[in-house]
Amino acid sequence: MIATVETRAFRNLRDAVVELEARLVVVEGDNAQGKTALLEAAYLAATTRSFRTRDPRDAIAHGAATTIVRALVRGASDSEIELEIRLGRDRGTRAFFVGKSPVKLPEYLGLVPALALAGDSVRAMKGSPAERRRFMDRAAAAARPGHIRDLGDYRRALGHRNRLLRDGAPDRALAPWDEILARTGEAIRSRRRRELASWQHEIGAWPELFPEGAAARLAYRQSAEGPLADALQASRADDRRLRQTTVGPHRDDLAVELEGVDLLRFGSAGQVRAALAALTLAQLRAIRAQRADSEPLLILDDVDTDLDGGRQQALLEAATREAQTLASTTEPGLASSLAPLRLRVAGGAVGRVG
Amino acid sequence: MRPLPEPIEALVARLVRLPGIGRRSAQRLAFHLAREKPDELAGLARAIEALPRELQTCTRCGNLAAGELCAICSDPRRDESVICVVEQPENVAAIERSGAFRGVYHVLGGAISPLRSVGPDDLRIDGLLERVAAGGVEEVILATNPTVEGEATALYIARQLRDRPVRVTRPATGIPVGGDLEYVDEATLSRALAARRGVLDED
Repeated sequence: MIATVETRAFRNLRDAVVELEARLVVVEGDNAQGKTALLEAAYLAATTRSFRTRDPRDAIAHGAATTIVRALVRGASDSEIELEIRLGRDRGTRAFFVGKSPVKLPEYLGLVPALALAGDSVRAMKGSPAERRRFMDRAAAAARPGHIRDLGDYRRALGHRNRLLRDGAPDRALAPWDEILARTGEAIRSRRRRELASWQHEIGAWPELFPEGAAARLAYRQSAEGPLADALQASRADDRRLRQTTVGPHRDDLAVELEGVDLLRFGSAGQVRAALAALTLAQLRAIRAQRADSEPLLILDDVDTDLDGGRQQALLEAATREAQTLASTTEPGLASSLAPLRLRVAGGAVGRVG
Repeated sequence: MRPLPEPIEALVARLVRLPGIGRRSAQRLAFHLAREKPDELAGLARAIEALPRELQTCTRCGNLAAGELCAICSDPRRDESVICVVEQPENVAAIERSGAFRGVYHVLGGAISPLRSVGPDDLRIDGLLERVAAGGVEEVILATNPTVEGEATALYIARQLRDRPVRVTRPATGIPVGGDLEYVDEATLSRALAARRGVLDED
């Protein structure tokens, strides 16, 4: 569990040490006061990434060259480790420390598994298949480190193949790239499917949050049926005409089907939000099953968005059982029955409420 | 930042273009060289200047050579029935350091990369096919780099050699000697498992 987070020159937050040692931390405050920044700092310390922007260096405060985030993590039997991440504006000026010693990224990652459900995730997931693929890939990468490498190799090979298609290159030039795409693409698909299968098990576990869960079927929708090697072969003529590769995991999609209708695309905002929350909780269960030693972190930014009071309460109750939960809200007094540690952020300053 | 003296700055600007040299290392080298005796520096300059004048490309394999043939192609003790295909001359040097290979090489000069406009015709692939067609070659080892470009190059060449009476192999990618399984990444491990062999297999 993250006991404290300390920030320096991080967005609009005042440099300070913030105590977070509780199963549930509710961060209140009006918009643009720094609530999300505090959640982002905790997430960054855990994952080295931001759930708000692609480039975490966006979080370096105006006028500063470097930001520092430190997290004190308390493990079982009161063991403590200190995580520290430093980000500079220049490329390559990133440093990670565990217990004051500099470490490389792979040693740093995974010490605190963390997931985030942001306020704008509903809009993103509804509108964008790319976002739905990223949702699967983030989970697959967290479970299997080889996934990131396969994604990188796949994208590079795809870029090469698309270039050849644009140039009208002969079949013999395409063949090796098809082979690489088939190998890495099948690996990507099988890891995504494995994630879906594990979520399918759990998705009905929170009926008060996501009542449709018991009947929902998670579907991995392939851009073309059958093995990718065959599909690439079969689509060559189309691909040449369209000058790009039209089949493969970069065109696949995730669907949460309810009587054959995809809830992610056609459901109400509340349904999508509840479905995403249930999928996130399912991921936390999978993480906990694999990593009994570490306590995951869950970020619920703008937890009140799109969810009615009953579902909010159900989400926070469930979340608190699965992870240390940091939730932000504009509503004072949220979740009082769960006796959270309550913080208030105003003008970048974080204070305790009550 | 305080500016460096112009001659040092000029040297630093050249050194930072070298692989593995950042600005800080370049400055260290430049200040070190500034303290050297003039004949030492002249010797270094001569050695650098001699490179384009005296270095050639081996007409047989594409390796760097001091004459028409490289040291390996002109060594009669090398086994010419096994050709190891690599991307660059430094890959030859790396394999030679291991001392594990007694055959000869073929240096392609890069890897297929459509995004950088490098196609098969820009590499010494035809030269390799000619060497195989000339006969006497029993095995071609495709030791291109384990990148997608290196892999695509190996696959391309393997297809070109499919109907020739040669054995085409690729070095096993696998677990480093003395490595711990726990720290081997998944992709390496799965490839190493796929390429496993019997404990008592002969080479």
